[in-house]
Amino acid sequence: MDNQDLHNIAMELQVLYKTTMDLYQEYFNTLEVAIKNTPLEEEEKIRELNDLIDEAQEALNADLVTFAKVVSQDLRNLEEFQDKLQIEDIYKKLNN
Amino acid sequence: MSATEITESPAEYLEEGKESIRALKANALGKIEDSLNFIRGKEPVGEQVKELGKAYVDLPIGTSARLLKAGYELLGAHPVEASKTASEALGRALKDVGRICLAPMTMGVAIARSGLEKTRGVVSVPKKATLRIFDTARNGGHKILNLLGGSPGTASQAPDLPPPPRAQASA
Repeated sequence: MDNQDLHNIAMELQVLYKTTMDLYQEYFNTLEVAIKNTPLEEEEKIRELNDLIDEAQEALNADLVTFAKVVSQDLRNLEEFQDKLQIEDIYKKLNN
Repeated sequence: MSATEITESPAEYLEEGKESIRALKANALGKIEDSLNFIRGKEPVGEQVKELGKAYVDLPIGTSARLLKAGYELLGAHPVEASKTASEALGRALKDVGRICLAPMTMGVAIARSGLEKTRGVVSVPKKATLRIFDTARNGGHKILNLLGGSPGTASQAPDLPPPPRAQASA
């Protein structure tokens, strides 16, 4: 693996990170609109949205830890990295 | 049944319930705002692509100081005092250079990844380690000093860069 390969990996990592953060932003924006538009009478829905926000916050933190782990290791060993991004689960859930 | 509940009218009870939902809604919106601000203010870790320099250093004794000194010199910052421990030196790197932040890898981890053994407080196995420094600067952003412990084969895998004179001098 030469410097060009490492550079390419780093670029891909950059794109993945940006995409992940964009997805989280979009998701939080969507939740914001949803909760703002939910009247107080719909208590159950508000509670449900609140739970989704908590879940998204936890997932965001976990994904940031994952990215930090990747950045802290030698990129040559990236293939051995098995951690999965939580945003994938959220994305799948929203698309099902 | 408490006295409070006895004196509470149905209307008051309903209003209290509504108030708690209102608070929950406000709290949820606050959490969203915090999360969005957090994302916007986060250092883009994926931008560690521009390599500033690379130093190969011999690792007989005083490894932490040697690696850090080489790193500092590549970045044009102050050298680390040999007496400083790795953790002290890392803390100082942040304080002295200001714009530099460190990847979340301690020197100890870097050394461990080099396959070195630390006995009696002295790193005694003479292997080469690689220290690679990445610049995340974009629009005046941060630099990240990424300390990557070289595996025993790292030096031979990447022979394209000779040891910089300053790093040699420090080794």
